[in-house]
Amino acid sequence: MSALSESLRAGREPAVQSVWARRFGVFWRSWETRISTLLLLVMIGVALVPTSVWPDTAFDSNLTLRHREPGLLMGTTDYLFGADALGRDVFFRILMGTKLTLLIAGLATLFATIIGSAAGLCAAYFRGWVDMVVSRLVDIMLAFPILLLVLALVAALGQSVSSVIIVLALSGWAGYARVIRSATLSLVEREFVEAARCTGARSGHILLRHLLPNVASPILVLSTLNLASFILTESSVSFLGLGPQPPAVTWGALIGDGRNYMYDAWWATLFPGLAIILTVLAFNLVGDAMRDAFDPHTRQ
Amino acid sequence: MGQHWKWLLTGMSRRRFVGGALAATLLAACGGGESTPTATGEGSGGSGGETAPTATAAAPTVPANIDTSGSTNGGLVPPKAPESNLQSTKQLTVGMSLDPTTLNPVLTTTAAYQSIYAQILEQLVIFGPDGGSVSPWLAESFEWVDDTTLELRLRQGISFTNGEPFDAESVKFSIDAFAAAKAYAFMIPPDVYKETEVVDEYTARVHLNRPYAPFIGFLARGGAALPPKYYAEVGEDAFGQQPIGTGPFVLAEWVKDDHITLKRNDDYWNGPHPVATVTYRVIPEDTARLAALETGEIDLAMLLPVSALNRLNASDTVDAVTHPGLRKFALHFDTKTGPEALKDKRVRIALNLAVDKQAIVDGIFQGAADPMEGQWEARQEFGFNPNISMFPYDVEQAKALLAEAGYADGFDLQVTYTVGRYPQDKELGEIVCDYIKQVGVNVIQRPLEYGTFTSLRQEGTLGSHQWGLLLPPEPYFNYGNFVQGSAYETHDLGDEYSRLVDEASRRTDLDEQLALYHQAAQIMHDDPPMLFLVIPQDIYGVSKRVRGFQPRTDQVLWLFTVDVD
Repeated sequence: MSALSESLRAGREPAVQSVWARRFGVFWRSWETRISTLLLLVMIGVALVPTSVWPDTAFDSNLTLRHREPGLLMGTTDYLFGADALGRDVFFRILMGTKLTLLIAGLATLFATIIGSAAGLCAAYFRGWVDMVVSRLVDIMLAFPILLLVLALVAALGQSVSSVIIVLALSGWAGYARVIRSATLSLVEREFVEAARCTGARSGHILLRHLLPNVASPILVLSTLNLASFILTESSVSFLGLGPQPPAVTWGALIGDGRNYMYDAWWATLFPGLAIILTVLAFNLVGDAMRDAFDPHTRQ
Repeated sequence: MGQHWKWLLTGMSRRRFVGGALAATLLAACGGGESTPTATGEGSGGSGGETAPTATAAAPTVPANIDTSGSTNGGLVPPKAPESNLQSTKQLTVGMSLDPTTLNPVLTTTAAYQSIYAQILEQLVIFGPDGGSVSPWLAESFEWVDDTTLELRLRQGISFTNGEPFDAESVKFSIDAFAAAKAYAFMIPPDVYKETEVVDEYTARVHLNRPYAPFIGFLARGGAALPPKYYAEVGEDAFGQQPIGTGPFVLAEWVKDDHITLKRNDDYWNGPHPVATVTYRVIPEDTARLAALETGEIDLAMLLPVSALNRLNASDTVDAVTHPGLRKFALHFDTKTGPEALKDKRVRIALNLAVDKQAIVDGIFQGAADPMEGQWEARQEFGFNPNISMFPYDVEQAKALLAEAGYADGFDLQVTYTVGRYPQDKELGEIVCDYIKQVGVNVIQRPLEYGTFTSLRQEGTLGSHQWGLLLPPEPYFNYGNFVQGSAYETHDLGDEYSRLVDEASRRTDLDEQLALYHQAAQIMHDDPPMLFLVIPQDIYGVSKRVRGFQPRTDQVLWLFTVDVD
């Protein structure tokens, strides 16, 4: 109650403030979430660093340093995570790979969110044949093995950053559509939608101004979780050699390159793998915390 | 182990014999059926060097059970094996990466398939293990009677395992079948072969429409003896499922995608083989094949990845054996549609100087590769020019040449390379691009998956590209691919080159042939149509219980000399 009275005293609109404050409180309460959030912020920071900043050792092969052991083991700071088969610094290649890995997962999530939310909203709002078509498409998409679909599409579209993004977005929208559709279904019969209709609001207005804000929280939660799964899928695609091609670097590609030498140089595989695990874990923890925060049944 | 195989282990006074491949082939051609290696000498040129299976820096030295006698001359056929071999029940298991679609040599030239049917069906003539010469086998001798007539004298008293006799009639039938086969069309143009004449029971004469010396190479690659009655009766497809030949083994069982079992042919003309059963097991995954080798499930595995070397070297039960290969990796310059700069040969020479081939061999291939020697032919091949040497790694000279050509500030060069098609092709592509970048050329990398690569190649839009080409060790099948208008021509080497190669294909005299090919190689060196890179060695995993294993340059597994403890 104190939050409410405080905001009342401050003369601000009480409800909004307190809801977000409460949500943040729930979100921030566990140490896992705090660490994960910090980690993700660091990752994003690394991704924003311009490529030109990374040292030459990340790009230029040097066969005399092939499979150099990690500096970590030898107590030095150069080549902290060792060198790969062409003598390039694994540590800096992982940092370099952050940009493309996050960019691909991020953009693909953005597109999947837009397509999936629009489809879900429309299906629930218009019902009839629109619902019919969207629902069947969603069923088909969800019944299809995602990785197989991605591989087939990448093979058809050719290997490039943009085709991987398109393919991931195409494979990921159905999950959104299904969740948003059911969330919206419970809203369309509500009074405020009725009221908006009575005042003569057009469908587009109702969808964007009245329904979308009310399903924003599941969208946000889904996106966070989705980012994690897209990072994994992108890594699988790159690992199989169908992702972005050299000189582009992603974590999955680093693992794919290192795999052939796991017996001689485990570090070229292990460290990119750890980067993926940590990032995916962090996104999942943050997503879980966000879900809890948005869930009205969760108490502080 | 049967003493009779000792001949191969100790034979030839272990003389390296590459430059002398010429003499060897000549000797063979002059009818030295089981000719003893008297005329081998030390080879003619300074090209000697490493031809036999070489253990590289990273690999162990060649173990005692591996035949290092290397190139053999006319007398490839070992002395007759003793009847006592019949008592042996020894077994040998070979790990294969793929199950054959057919065992009919008329339908396929795939070395992995031939590695099975080579024990069942025998060749009339055959490439020596080093690929440098052609030796007689079922034909006791062969000889050019004139420019267009090749006479084959056959071994007598041999029959197929179904009882059909091996004679001039069956040779005629076989050569007719191979000359008409689609799979061999690239070795023998349709207008070359005329007919095979049966002179007497054991003499056949092949008549050609025009002089075509590479016919011998074609026979050495294809040219197995087929049983005419049985083949005609069952047809080519069924023959591929149940082949019958004159070889030391017969097909006993074939379970698709699992294993193929061969049983000893007790009546083999050269005496029964010491091994009673040979089983080929299909294990597609490299690491699984390697593990099977380590646990003793299989005795022999072919074409292992470089990454297997360290593991094999650490093993107590298995040896790594490397052998000079023939898959030649090069960056083929497209001077027809490529950037203007590539038209200047100084630029192409500069790029050849910009790449450290030896570092690539030592680093990426862990020593199990050989740098290309500034020419297309490999050191062990007939047609190699020993007077040409490798482009050295010289960045300063490369930069100077680029400046001289007016490209001191570099130029844009798109480099397309295969990814995932050959072992290490991605790394090779990346490293070569890095090297080129270091002399100031702006490289645009275009790594492609093989399917896309091939379709662009067919469209003719590939541009300058790097890949590994494996061609049979007959000089014409190699030099001939770069003459004007041929399949792999990306740069016009000029009329003189085409003339020399064409002329060489018409000379049945090997000395004359070689002289012409040497000139062609010089043209190719002075005006390089490609960046000569490396030739990876073939890597075999061989159990220590296997004796007398002889790796072959054509990647065909040859079990005639193999025994097991």
